[in-house]
Amino acid sequence: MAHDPRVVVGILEDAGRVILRWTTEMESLAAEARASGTRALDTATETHRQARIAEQWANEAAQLARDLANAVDVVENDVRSAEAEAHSAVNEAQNAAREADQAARNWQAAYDTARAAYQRAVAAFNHARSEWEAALSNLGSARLSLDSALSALRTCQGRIVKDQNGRQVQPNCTGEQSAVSSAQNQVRHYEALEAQTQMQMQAAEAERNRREAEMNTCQSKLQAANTIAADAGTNAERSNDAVNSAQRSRVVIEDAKDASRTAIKMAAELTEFAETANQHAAILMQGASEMPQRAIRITDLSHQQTDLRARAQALLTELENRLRAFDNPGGVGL
Amino acid sequence: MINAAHEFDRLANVFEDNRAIAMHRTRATHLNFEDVVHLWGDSRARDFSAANLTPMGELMPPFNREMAEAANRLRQLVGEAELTEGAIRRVASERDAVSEAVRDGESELSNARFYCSEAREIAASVRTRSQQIAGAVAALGSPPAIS
Repeated sequence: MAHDPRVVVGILEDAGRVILRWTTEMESLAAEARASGTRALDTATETHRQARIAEQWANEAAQLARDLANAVDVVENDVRSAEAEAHSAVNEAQNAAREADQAARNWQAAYDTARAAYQRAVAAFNHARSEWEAALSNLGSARLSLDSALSALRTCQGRIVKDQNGRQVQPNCTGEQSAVSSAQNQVRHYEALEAQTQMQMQAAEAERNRREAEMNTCQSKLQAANTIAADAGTNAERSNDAVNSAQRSRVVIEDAKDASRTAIKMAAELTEFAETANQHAAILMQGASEMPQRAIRITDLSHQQTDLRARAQALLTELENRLRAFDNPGGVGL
Repeated sequence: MINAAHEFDRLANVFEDNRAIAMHRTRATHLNFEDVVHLWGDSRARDFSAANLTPMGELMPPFNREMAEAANRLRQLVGEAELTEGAIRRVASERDAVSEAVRDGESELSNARFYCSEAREIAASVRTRSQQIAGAVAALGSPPAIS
């Protein structure tokens, strides 16, 4: 089969160029494989670095969670201590309030008794005074009676009485004398009675004054006891504030414990994720580290085309020479 | 953070694409030389074709295999990268949650310390007052026996 030599040469020339292009592309693909291998390794290295950072974050988070748990333990001990102190304060305040109330009741009873005794002493004194006043009045009357009897006696004794012989004789004043004696007896009786009742009145007065002083003392103590009891009541109420604050601290520490448990649980999960990341990053590193080696093998294969390329280049040179021969009559054809 | 899974996927595609390009070029070159043999049709042409195609034919299977293996390996790494990056993202996001939980806890602790201090202060004050009250009650003494 005859062909136009120029056409055949053109086809051969195309074939040579295709070979050249093919070898060039193989080398280009090998170069891209090397770049891709390097890129894969860089990517794996970066990912592994990030996995390590994640591990560091997980460790830091776990440390934060542990620190919080330790702080919670310390504060919870404080809370227990505060609760104990608050309850102790409540007990002491209640004891003090009970004692103060008891003292107030005791002094109230003492005051009531003292006031009753005082009122009785006042009544006794009033009675004694009326007794004395009666005795004094009777004494006055007795003295008036004595004065009258003495006057009657003197009148009687001054009378001039003569007997039947005309001689002046002593008047008979026996009756008046007897009346004087009787009046004198009455005066002495009432003097004694007045002295006695006066003494009794003075004793009753002293007793009344003593009872009054006693009552005043009890009243003063009662007022003091009532003030102390009121103060103790306020103090006991205030002790409830300590309990309330301790209870609030208990509620809040329980919230803190919840937060601590949550932080520890999440930190543990974080550690697991970080471990997962590192495990897979290690696999990634191992896989990616193969890539440069593969790229080298691909490059080696592309280098094996060198003689193919040289042969194609020689073919093209020969074809160019032949084409020149066509253009020069007398040259060598195909 | 780089997207490693995406990057490995992209690189796998590069190897796949390059492998396809190499195969395509090889086939095209082969066809081209078949044309040469067909048109030239003599022993020189066959020798020429064999001399060029045989090395190419020997070279391509390992080249093709290496490219394909590299692409497959990179495809495997896409899954590993997704797992790795997923875990890293979880750490990054939940790390903030841990910090927030710790901050909440510290805030509660601060409140607890305050209430503890308040409770103790009040308790101490109450106990002191209780002792003073007990002293005052003792100072009142017992009421006298009154008849």
